Amino acid sequence: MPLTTATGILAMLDEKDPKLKGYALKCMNRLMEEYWPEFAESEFIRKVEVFYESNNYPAEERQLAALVAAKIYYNLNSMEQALHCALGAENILDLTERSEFVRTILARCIDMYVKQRQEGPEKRHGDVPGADPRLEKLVNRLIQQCFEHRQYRQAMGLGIEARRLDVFERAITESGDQRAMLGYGMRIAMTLVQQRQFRSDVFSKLVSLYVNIQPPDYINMVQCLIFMERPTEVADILARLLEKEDQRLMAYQLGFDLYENGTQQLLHAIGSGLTEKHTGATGSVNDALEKMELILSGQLTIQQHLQFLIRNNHTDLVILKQTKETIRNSVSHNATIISNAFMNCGTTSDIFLRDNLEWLGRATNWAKFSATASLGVIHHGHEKDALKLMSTYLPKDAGAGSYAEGGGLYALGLIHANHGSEQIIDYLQEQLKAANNEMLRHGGCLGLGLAAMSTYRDDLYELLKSNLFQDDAITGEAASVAMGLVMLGSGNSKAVEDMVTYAHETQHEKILRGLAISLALVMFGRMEEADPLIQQLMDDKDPIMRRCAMYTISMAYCGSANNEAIRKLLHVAVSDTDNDVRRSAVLGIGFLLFRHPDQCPGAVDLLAESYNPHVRYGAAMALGLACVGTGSREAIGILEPMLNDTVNYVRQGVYIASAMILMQHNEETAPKSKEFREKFRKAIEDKHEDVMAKYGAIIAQGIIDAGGRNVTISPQTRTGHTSLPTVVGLFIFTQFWYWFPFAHFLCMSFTPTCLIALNKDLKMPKISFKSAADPKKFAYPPPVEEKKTTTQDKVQTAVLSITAKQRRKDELKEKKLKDEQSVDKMDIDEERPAEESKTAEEKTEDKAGAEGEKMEEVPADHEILPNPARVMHAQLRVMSFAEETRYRPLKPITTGGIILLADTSSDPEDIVENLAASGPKYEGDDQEPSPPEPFEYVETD
Amino acid sequence: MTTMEVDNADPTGVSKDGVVDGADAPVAVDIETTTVEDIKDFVKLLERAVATGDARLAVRPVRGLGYIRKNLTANVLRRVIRGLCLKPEDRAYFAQYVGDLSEDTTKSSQSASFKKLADTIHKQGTMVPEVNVYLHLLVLISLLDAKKNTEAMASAEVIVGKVIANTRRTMDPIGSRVYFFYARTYEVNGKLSNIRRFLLSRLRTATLRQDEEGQASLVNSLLRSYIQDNLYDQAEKLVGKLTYPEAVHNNQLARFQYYLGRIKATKLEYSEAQQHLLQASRKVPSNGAIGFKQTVQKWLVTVELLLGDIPERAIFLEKEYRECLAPYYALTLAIRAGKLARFNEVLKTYAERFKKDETYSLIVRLRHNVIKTGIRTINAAYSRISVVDVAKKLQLDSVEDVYFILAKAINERVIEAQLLADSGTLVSKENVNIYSTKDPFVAFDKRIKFCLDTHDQSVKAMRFPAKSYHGDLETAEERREREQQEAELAKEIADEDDDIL
Repeated sequence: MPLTTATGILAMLDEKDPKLKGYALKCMNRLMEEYWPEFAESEFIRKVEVFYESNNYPAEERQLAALVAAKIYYNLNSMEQALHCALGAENILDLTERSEFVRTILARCIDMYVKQRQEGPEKRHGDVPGADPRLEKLVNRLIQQCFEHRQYRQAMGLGIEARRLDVFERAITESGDQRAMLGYGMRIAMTLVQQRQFRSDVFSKLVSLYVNIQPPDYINMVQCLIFMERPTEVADILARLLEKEDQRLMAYQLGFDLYENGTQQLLHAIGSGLTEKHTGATGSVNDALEKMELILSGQLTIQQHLQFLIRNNHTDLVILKQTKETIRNSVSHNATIISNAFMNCGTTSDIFLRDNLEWLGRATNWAKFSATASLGVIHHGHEKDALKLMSTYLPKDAGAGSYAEGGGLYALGLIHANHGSEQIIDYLQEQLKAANNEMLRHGGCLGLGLAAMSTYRDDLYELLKSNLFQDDAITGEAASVAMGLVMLGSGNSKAVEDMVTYAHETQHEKILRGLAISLALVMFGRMEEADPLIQQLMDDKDPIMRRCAMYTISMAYCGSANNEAIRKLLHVAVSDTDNDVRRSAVLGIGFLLFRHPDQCPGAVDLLAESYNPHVRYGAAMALGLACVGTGSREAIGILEPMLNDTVNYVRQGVYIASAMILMQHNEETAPKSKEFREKFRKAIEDKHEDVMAKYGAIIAQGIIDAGGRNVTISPQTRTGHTSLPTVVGLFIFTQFWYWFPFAHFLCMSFTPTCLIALNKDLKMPKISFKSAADPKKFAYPPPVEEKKTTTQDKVQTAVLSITAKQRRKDELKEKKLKDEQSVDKMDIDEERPAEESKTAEEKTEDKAGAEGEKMEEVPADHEILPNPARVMHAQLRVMSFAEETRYRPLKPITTGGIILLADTSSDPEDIVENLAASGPKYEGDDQEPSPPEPFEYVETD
Repeated sequence: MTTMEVDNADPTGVSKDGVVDGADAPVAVDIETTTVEDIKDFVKLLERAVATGDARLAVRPVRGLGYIRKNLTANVLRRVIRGLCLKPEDRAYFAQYVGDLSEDTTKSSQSASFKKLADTIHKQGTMVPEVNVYLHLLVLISLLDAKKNTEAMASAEVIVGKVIANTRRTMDPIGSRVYFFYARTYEVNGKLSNIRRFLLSRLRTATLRQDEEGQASLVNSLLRSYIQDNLYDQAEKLVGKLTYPEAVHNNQLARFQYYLGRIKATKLEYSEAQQHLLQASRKVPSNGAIGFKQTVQKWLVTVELLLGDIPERAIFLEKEYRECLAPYYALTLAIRAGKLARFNEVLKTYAERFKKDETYSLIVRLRHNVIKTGIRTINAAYSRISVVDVAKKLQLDSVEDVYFILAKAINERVIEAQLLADSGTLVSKENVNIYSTKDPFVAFDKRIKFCLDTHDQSVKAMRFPAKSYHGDLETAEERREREQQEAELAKEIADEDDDIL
């Protein structure tokens, strides 16, 4: 008869002899699996625990008792207690045992340890133990085991989760492949660490490790330093690199990366640090230094992007024309102008406006302000001639009227957004001081704020503050936003205090609104540092201040997907009494989740079906913000039924959000894109459609084809940093709800999708890239067919022929150059120019909209793209050089953006000619290219 | 312990012959073909469940097992396995149980669809484990039905090993059935107590992974094993330490409630036992599972009698119970009459039946109830009666005993009466009007609670297809039309108002 009950063993627990008790425990431990229901009576558990806690027994037996108790609790599914007891078991708990019990306990253990470490008061300092020492001991044993089994990644993950930098470091140094582990560590630090302070600690550790490996990995090192905002160290590295002839290119590359990822203030600091170091430099070093300054100032990046946009401009004017013909009222008129600005953003092509000057003239008052500002969007980045360009609209004695002048100042700001030179800031500052009416002050404040974004300059801040304190509603609104822009992301406590105090004093809603935006901007990216402010604002009884709290969460935690922050937003989204607060709360979810666009549809799915239209609007926009440019099928799936929403402004939000999601997508990559474009058109043409919804549809048309169809919005940079201008642009763009001219801020968010290769002289050499995918997959969407019934399209044809001619001229010139040079080229290159000219030709045809027969129709498996190339994010990973070249890239070209090439030969290089910007021409302006010299066309194919 | 398989077995008869010749009759062939098709459908579903990672899809094939089992012949199995197994190892393994697979009797028309399905369920050359286990399970069931117990044991070991090796959620539904048949196999071999330790460890795993079906199935098997060995104490302790998952199939729940009822009844907690048994009888599928129903009913009647209630007569007259409840009917009559002699007689006559039903130990306890009922009748009939007469009527020998019994009955409020010791008489009190007491409220409360409970459970059981309401949304045009109509209507109403003025 086998054993059927354990009562006998349990009875032994009552014996006096400790040996018997010990024996009973041993039996219990052995028989646990089968008889735990009998052991789990409370009296026995108590006895076992008493045994474990009393000091009369040898340690080993007490540990055994703890283990037995742990197993009982584990079987009872009360894991907290099981863990507690298991800690008491110490060494008797065999970690290597592959049993479910051990594994479960360990998992709990790690969870608890991580929780304690993250919550502990010493969380600021990675090395001070803040947890139960027994727990720590257990985890240390576990980590040791990881190392013994060469599971370095696990150890590193544990180190990061549990805030243990020592483990983190050890995981990297002890692994065989330091470089790969460093890359891995960097990636998780950037994407998974949600605490700012700890992240800096991790990065400083990473930098110290990067220095030690040979050869040092400067690119990643600088990435870390940008995160930590350590300008002096960056300047050191750059200075060292610049001194050596062969390392100079690397320095340039770092410069470009810095400009892409750093704030203005950081770049200034680096720049001045560099000049200090090299005051007495001569010769080539000095030369390189100058170039470096140029790069850091961003001028080169902007120039290259401008060139790229001008070169590849694919704006479809037919769309605009159709819109223009159908709209009837001033709101739509304003929207059309904004839409045009987006479509041509950065392309400097203002043909549409100049062709329709009379129509444009209908804009009056603030609409005129907005229309003038739209020029700034079109010429975004066209800094060289900015003042000349805008001269007609800038304040002068015989001015164009205050609205236009104010708009002109705003436009200047937009052109120099996040990149104001001393000169332009001074100019705006003077204009603002001299301004004598609120329109000028409004434009001036916004312009100054934009140009001096995140410079933290105190003098400007004080100037703006004095404007704010005039307590004029219109000036105050702009001034407060501008203050936020200047102090963007500084977390400056004085500024916060100023603003909060003034917010409680002022009577003007507009100023309050401005301050709400501004406070959020100051706290940009500060994460947990913003918590006290957020809490204070959330408790305010003024709904605008509560809304400000929502904005602050969105900005402070943008892209972090911080659970706590999302919880706060969701709570407010369903509980606040004020509609505006609820809307902004839902909208904020979009800002938090842009690094995880796949999660956003799930998060707002139910909110999108809320009874409250404001919440629905917020949900739609949140989808747009989080999934921007992804073409996400789920997001579109949620938005599609909302197109029929009963409330006009919800439809508006849906149009704009869907346009943001479908940016740069064609039918191959997002099958619904065509349908949505059609919906926008229908909404605009539909007489019954509400004007608010129409406004959304018109703007949507602008966004979906923004920047000549060559830009996208990506809230994180290629290296995974949060792109400051993009997020800020998006944030203030969403404020168009209150003030239409804010819509122009979106131009800061547009990033050209390009791959630009530069040589050591920072010029574009002529090379070509190969995209190993069907060209159709990443092609431009087909141009809109003009309706047959349209009565007259004289204007249209005129436009087309001019641009076409201009382009053809350029192409021919290029070709001629090529033909000349191909004579003395190496043999390998023989075939390339022909091929390239063919693709170029194809392009010309496309651009001109000519209906010549297209190259038929063999499904190609690759495409050759010339430098600078339009390469979409998804396309990057299939990119390579078209053929063997003399150049060697400093970082893999699959990262995209601006990439420097090291030249392996000393032959003369082919350089891509710069194209002139379009726009109004001035006297003495000899940018008009001279007509090409006569040549003979030779078919090389 | 005749019944365990609520949803599969059919103890009333219809002996199942494991092997039926396929070429028997055209009807048989048809059934065979449809069964094969059904199995194919279920396999497809399983594959989809694995592909999409949605364990809910795997539930249907598992629930269809009972239905397939009715028509599961060796031929069906041979055809399915021949069609679906591509790997020679798998084929060889199955061949030892179902016979030679090489001869090809299938029609070529089926081969194409089989081929396609076989391709989809093979990932990198090996069969999707869920499907593999499913086929195994079919084989095991056919072995059990054919009473090939030793072979079934070997097969069950293999299949459980496969389930344990897999940790995917999609395995859970089918795993729960595997545990059931595993335990069943051991039971028919008389070795159920051997695997208690194993079942407990699997239960732990299932709880950790929140595999509710698995938990339910394992708990039931464990309870069965304890009860079989009369380990009611352990069974109760186990039940006390668990939270039984609520969202499981009704059949599992019915089984669990039945076991619970038995444990409680043995532990003298009759009213709880009655509740559990009632639940069990309610959760049983309305058609089929007659054996289970009969057993539950036997227990229910016994427990009700123990509670001092008299079961409704209708139950004994129902067709499916008339035969099996006959001894219990006799018992009830004896108790109702309060005749101890008759009770003893019934007990003697049907002792074997009761022992077989395992209710004997409870029925022995009923003696007290008979006496109680007798006292109650006497009390109702006589306003004053001497204790000696009571003893005579109850056919008890000792008058002193009767004193004690009466005193106890009064104390327990079985009767409302007074025992006058000096005159040796029992004086009943005036019958109180029950409607002036709290009893009706309590009774009502109980019923209302039951109704609400039933309502809640049925609401919880309802499922709506996700997002099905999007289809009804009006389009922009429809909305505009409606709004226009509404506006017109409003205008008309306004006009009418004007007219009146």
